[in-house]
Amino acid sequence: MNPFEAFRSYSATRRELPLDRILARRDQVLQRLAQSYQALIEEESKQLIWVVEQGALSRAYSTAVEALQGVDFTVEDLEDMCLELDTNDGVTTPMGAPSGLFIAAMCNQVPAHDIALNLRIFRHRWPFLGYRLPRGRRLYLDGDAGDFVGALLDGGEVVVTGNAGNYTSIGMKTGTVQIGYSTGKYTGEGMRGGTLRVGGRIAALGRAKQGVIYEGDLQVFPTKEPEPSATLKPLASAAQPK
Amino acid sequence: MGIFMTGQEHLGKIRDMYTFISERLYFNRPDLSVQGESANATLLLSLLTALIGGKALIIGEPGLGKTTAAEYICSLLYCLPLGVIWSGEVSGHPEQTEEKIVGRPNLGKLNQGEEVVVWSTFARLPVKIVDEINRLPETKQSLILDGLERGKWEYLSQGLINDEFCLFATANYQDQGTNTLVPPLLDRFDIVVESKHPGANIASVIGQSSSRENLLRHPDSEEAFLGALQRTRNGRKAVDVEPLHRRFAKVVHERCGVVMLSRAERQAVRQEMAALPMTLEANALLRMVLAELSFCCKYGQKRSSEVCDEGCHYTNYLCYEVRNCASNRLPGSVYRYAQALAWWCGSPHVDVEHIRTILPYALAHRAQWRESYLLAREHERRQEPLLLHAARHATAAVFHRFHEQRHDILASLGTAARLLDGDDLPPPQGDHPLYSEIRRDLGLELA
Repeated sequence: MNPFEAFRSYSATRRELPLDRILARRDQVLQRLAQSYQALIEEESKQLIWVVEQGALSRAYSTAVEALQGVDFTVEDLEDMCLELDTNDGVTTPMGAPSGLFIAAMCNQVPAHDIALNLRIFRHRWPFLGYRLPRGRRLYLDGDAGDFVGALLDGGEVVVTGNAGNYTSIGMKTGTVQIGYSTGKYTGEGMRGGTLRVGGRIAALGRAKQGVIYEGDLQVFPTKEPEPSATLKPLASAAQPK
Repeated sequence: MGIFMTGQEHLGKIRDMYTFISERLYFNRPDLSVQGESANATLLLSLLTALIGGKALIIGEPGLGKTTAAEYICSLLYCLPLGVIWSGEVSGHPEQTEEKIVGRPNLGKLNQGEEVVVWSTFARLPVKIVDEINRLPETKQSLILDGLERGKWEYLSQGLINDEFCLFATANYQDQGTNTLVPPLLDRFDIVVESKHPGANIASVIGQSSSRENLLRHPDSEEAFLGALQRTRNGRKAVDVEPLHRRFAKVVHERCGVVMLSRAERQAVRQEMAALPMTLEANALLRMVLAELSFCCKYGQKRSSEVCDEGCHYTNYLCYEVRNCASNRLPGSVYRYAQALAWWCGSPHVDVEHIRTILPYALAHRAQWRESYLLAREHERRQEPLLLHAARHATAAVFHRFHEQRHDILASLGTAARLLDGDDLPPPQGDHPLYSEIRRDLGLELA
């Protein structure tokens, strides 16, 4: 006699917990994102040129965007990928890993308008966060950002609650970059439009072309001619004898 | 389709009967909820007892309708006038004798040297009601053990077997005149229910209402039934009482509007119930309960003479809280009543909810708990007597564990099935006593 006979068929029905399903999906997405990042690294390792050169950046960004095509990911997956990059990214270049550019590409591709990243939990300070952020998207970075934050901003809004490094808003076209505290050198370098507000101090302004830059409440680019004080205006009565 | 319709018709008749009893004869509050439907546990489970031919122990304070509930139900279910039911009742008292309960010699025949037994109405009727059973001394309780178990009565050298019977016994709470019911007798009861006080408002209505028992009395039928039973002697062909049943059924239908079941219909209902399969989950839950109530890692199984030690690995399971071992009657009772409940609910199978509902009533009188367990339960807020409350608490604890482990348990039972067939699989591992039982059945642990 087999006292378990009735249960023979049970193995056919595999137990599935909702959490298992969620984790499996997350792992799958994360794996695809990691593959995309690997594709970017392999492509860029041929060049090994990481200088602020429009052509090189543009090419790397296009590679990243291309690698992300077809990957269905969410803001939560983006956060997970940042954690993954923070833990395992061994690629170093003179200007930091291309991971920042990859994260920027993810921010621009993820199907969400509001993206928030807690930078305080990451060891790395990635460059190029907010690179080419398009209109209609808001990137909220809690903590200190690295160099080139808001580079070539394309209508989006970048908010950094802490400090930002050098070349903040470099080449920004339109949109808004708001830094809670201070920025480094070459702030606003090559800006062609948009608004950069720095809550604290700007170590050194770059050579902005257009747009507006504030340091605290003070507009530092374009420099405003101080309005003549009312007390210096000639009195109407004094002018009459002329 | 025809069978289905018949099943629905039977269910409709039984439900009408329940409604009639609850509205006209036995007033009480609903205290049981199953599949979103509320009912009075005493009434519903007693009705199911009569229907499936089970054995119910009804406990409660004196005068709260224990015996009358059983009488009304049996009268309606077995199509017997109340007077006949009363004639067949046995009262539990210290002077009770086998001759009064089972049968006596036919003295006239005995004088002629012939040994003929005159069976008691109690032994002959398919409805057996023992009033205040715990007033029977322990030595006399064994007189009715066999009869209660199998419906098999013996006196002198003759025997009587009831093809169809149900048993109700009532018991008051302990007082000076009561005795302890011996465990073998208790174990023979499928379920225990408490006939509760209906509450002040309903009780006041009971006091004002006219005599309810007249509804099920019919002196002409009673006389005819008793006469027929008297004429049935050993060795003679039994008198056909079916016409008498039909006559009484007609009277009740005209008087109360209730349609009664014939013997064939009762048997059909039993077949319908017996055909209801148990889901794998319900099966696994029952196995978990049985494992916890019979397993002992140190002594192999529970024995009422052996108390397991403090600090046992299985301290959090029922095997630590209970002193005796679950009998083989327990799963039978649970299964049959769960089938009956599933049938009552119109469910196509016995599921976890049916098992969970029945378990406290099947376990309460059978489990002998550790004193510490009862002490912990004694002062908890409750609506039931301690023994039912403790059983309900234990059922809830096992169900909680089942809910957490159901997939692993089911998978392990599935693996065990294939292992026994010779498949090469890793043996099931787990912390519940059931895993140990599985491993024992697979020969991986000493039984």
